[in-house]
Amino acid sequence: MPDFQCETYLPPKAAEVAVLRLSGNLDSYSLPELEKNIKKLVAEGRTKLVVNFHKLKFLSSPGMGLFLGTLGELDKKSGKIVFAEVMQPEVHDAMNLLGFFDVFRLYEQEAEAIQSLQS
Amino acid sequence: MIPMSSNVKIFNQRLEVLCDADCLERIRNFVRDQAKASGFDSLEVGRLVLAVDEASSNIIKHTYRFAQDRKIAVEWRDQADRVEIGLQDDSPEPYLPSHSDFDLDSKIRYRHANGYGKYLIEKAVDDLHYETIPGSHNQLSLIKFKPNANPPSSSASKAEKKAPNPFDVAMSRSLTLRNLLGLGESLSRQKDSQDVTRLFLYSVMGSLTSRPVALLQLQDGKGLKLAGQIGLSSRLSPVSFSNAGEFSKVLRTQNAPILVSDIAPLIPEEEKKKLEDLQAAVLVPLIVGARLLGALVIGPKKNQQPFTEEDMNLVTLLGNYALLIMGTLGPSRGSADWGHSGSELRAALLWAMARVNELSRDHETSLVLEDEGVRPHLEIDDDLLQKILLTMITHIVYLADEGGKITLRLGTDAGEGVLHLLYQGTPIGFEKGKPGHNPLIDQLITGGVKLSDCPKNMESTGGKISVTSKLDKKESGMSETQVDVALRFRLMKH
Repeated sequence: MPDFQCETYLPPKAAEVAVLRLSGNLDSYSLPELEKNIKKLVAEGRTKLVVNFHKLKFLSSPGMGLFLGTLGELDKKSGKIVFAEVMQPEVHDAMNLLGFFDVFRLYEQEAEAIQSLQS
Repeated sequence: MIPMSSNVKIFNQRLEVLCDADCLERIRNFVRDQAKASGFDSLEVGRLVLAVDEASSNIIKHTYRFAQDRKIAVEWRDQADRVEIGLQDDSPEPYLPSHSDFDLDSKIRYRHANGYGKYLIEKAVDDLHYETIPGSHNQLSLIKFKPNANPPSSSASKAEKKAPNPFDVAMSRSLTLRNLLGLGESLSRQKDSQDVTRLFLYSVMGSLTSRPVALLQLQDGKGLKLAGQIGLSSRLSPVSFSNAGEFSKVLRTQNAPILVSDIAPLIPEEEKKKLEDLQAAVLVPLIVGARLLGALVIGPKKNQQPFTEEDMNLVTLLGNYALLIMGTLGPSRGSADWGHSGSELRAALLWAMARVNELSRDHETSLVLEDEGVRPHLEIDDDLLQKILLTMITHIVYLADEGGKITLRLGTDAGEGVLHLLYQGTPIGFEKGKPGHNPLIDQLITGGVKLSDCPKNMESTGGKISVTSKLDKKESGMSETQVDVALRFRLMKH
């Protein structure tokens, strides 16, 4: 099975916010799992998402495309996605190649990212 | 590292894997190890891993459709000044071309979710090329110069590099309308129509069958002639079928794919022999209105199994694509003969809707017909109307990568029949009238075309088309395009 996990954290007193903590490798095989998680959260009204990349080792275009597509959906609902803790150089570089940091705000710490969505 | 299993074999610097759920991890690990051994720094190692993962993912997703019994081979060839990474699949189907007009800013701005793989590969490596061995496999080669190597100077590299070939096919991609229309636009600029047809089929058929495909085209009203072929070991000498012969008659009466075995008793031996030479198993008549333009001839399935209902639906779709491309290229026909059916507009709309729904399966564009309760009898040639509608709608679907809504609204106004084609959705640049579009679209965009401008036997129909469009910026900051195409027609006298 693909080495990928997505842990969901719902901050208290923040009804619209959800944190997705990714670990392992996000590639074509592991994409459906993340996609399912995101769709579920958005359907539940969680339109402000923090994606924590601390433990993610690999990211390719299907995953990046999913974030962009989700952003497009959330734009229509006045939602938002921000990134936190992009630690792995390969992951950071892949995002940089697509100009992601012009589109997604990046926070060093998850807590900062959550706070930004609450204000 | 994932432990090796019977699914993995390593030959020196070659890795061959079965495409199970762990195969990408194995491929990435292999590339990472080789890249480090070749002396690349961590940034370049990461990019090479990404490039090969993207290329492999494309094969798995688009060629293999996640089938787990297929193989990918990755070869690492370490040379003095460069490494060459070969990626080979076991598919005899050719790659499909990708668009040359990739616009990253636009895709990001409009939140497109797909289509970044090739871009990332090209950012990661110094050169790449593709090769298809028909009936055997495809090979992608990625070249990366080593850190201390002196890559060819820019002037030398320009001389070394081949001129861009519009038919350099990229990694196999799904059979989407976007790819086909883009290919049609490229092909329409080529002069040799036989090669054009051949290359169209070469690219399109990759997803459906690995066996021979041929296109028969009605030429000069005299007969069906071989216009192009792929997958046959040698170029066939000219093949033609009499227009008045039994073969053509059978095709004219069909409006759906037919098995050759079903019609064999009906056609003369001579024509049967020609179909055997073409290795024909299924024929797809290409009919517009009541006019036979040609036929697609499709060979047996790779696994020699019978054609299923799903297969027949796929070849029907292919027939529609072929018609669309033939329309772009200009189908060979004698004097303009649109005919004049006087069919109800609604029937034409339903036809267009069915075609567009088929063609837009990979897009999230919805097509709605709103009938204001009026069913006027419109004096309009339904061939032309279908062409207009299909051209307009499929171009919108092609451009609106992220989808939108198309509404067809039918009614009357001041004694005229009016059809509104309304599009609302992500900006599509429609209002800019991009060059290279179907000329009919350009005419429509620049302010309308009178139906009386069409072939002269349409003069009696009259009518007018006007197009208005605007780009709105919504409160959210997102832009939205609204396009209104109004087609006005005289009402038929009762």
